[in-house]
Formats: sequence, C-alpha cells, structure tokens
Amino acid sequence: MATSTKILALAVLAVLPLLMNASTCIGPQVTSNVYTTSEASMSISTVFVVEVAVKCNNGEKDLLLFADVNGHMVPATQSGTGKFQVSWSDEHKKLPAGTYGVRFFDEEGYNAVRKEKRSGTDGSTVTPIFTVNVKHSGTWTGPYVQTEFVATCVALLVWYMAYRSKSFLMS
Amino acid sequence: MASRKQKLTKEEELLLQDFSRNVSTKSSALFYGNSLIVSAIPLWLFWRIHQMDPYQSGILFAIMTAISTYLVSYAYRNVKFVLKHKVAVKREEAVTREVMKKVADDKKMSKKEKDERILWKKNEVADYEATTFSIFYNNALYLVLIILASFYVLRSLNPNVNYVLSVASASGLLALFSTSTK
Repeated sequence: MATSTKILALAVLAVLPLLMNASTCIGPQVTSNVYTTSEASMSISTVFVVEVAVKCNNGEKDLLLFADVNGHMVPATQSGTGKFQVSWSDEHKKLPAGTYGVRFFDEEGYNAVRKEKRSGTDGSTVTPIFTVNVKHSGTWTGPYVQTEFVATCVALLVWYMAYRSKSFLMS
Repeated sequence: MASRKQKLTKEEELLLQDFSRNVSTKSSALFYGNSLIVSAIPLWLFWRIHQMDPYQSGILFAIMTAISTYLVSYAYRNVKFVLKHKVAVKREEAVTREVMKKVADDKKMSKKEKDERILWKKNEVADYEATTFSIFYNNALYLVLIILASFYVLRSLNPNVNYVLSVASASGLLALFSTSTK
C-alpha cells in the first residue's frame, strides 16, 4: 500500500511539469528598438525605452517577461503578440553616456534572480533568455555660449568700430 | 527809395545750406527708407525669438515701427549735421588737390570760379560721407540698444511689453544721443 502511494506520487510529479502553464521560450530570435533621451535642455530626466519583438523556436506565444534594469526587476509590458516594452528614467547625471545591458528573463529566471537576491547576491549568475544592449550617447545640454551673448558681442564690436571712426572724425 | 533785391551768390547759398539742419529731398528719402528698414528688424526678432504672433500684435508692430522710423531718421539728420563740418575740414586738402588737378589746364576759369568749384565739391563729398557714416553709426547703436534691452534688461517681461519698451527706449536713446555736439 505504501509502495503504491509512493509510485503514484512519483508519477504525478513526473507528469506535473507537462500540465503546468509555465511558458518558456526556447531559441529566441529578438529584434529590438531603442530610444534614449538626446537633449537635456528640454527635459528634466533621461528616459530609456526598449521595444523587443521575440519569436521563439518552440512557437511559445504566451510569454511573461521581466527585465533587469539597473539591478531592479521590472515586468515588461506586452504591446502586441510577441512584442514587449520596457522603459525607465532617472536624472541625467545618473544615466551617463555608455552601453547598458538589459537582461530579459522569463518567469523561471525571474524567480531564480529573486531567490539569489534574497540570499544576498546580485543575481548575475542567472542566465537570461536574451540581453539587449542599449547604447546611450549622452544628452546635449545646450551650447557652451548662449546665442544672444554672441549676438550682443558682435553688435558691440561693430558699434565700437563705428564709435572709434566717429571719434577720429570729430577730433 | 526802391528796395534792392539781392540775389544770393552761389557761395552764400552753399553757406546757408551748410549751416542749415534741413536735408535735401533725396537725403530725406534715403534717411526715412533706411530708418524704416532698421525699425523693422525688431519685428523679426520678436516674432521668431520671443514668439509674438504677428497677426495679433500687428497694430502694435505698426505703431512702434512708425515711431521708431521717425526717431531714427531724426537721429540720422542730427548726426549728419554734426559730422558734415568735421568731415569737410578733414577732406578739404584732398578735395582741393583733386579739383585743382582737373581745372589746372583751364585758363579761362577765374580763381573765384575755381574756389567756388572747390567749395561745391567739398560740400558734396562731406554731405555724402556724413550721410552714409551717420546711417552706419546710428544703425550699429540702435541694434546694440535693442539687443541689450530685449535680451537682458527686459527679458522677464511679457513679450508685448518687452517689444514696446525695447523699441521705445532704443529709438528714444538714439535720438537723445544724436543731439550731442561731441
């Protein structure tokens, strides 16, 4: 009796993974579109937007993705079938120019990262489904010298030349 | 006793013209034309940089441009008058040399005629140089005043107020400075 119970339990455990609805993407083909803030004079913070289109070799469509953004795990918003979007923002100086690697995980990977972080590590040992490299060329803060200052200097220079000529004529 | 009507000599006419602040019709047209163009420059500045709507502020633009045109041409006239005599003194030697070179071979011309011709040429050169220099100097000063007023002194004000005060102060100061004899 005890032996039959044990066999039944093992059989259920063996079949259970097949009955679960956990979706895993095998061999993902990823196309990404990235936007980063380029001008700081008209905005108060730098924004990163990453759009990915994922096609799985196993035909998986019901994906649930999470992205590791600067050490924080955020869910990726689904914007269409197989299309996901992640965005984040921060002050200009906290997001300088450079390449930012955004790791994408499925549900399993997300749980693994969370488990590692709870045990004190940063979760970097967990392998993501795919990684998107975001190249940020920095933000333009405006010209070093304001244009009205340049215009004022040129106008003053021309007037000064005229004033000198006038002084010479009046002497 | 019959009154004698004396006709003015050419020399006296030139002297009268010299000491008069009145300008010829041609000079007047030149002054008003230039002052209109210069007074219209702030319109572009306030339309494109300070974002004033030209249709909404059309009447304001027209009034201030007209006032500025009058004051700037007034400044042109004053500065020209002051400069003309100084230029005449500076150019006298060169003009005399040039005219004498031209009339040296003319034996029929009397010394008086030659002197009149020199005086006339000197007046013409001084008039032209003083006119063009007056326009140049006043335009440069007007633009400096407009830029300083609109971008620095009055930058925090509403664009309409900024425009009125900038143009009024620039053209007013220009007219004021032109009354100086130095």
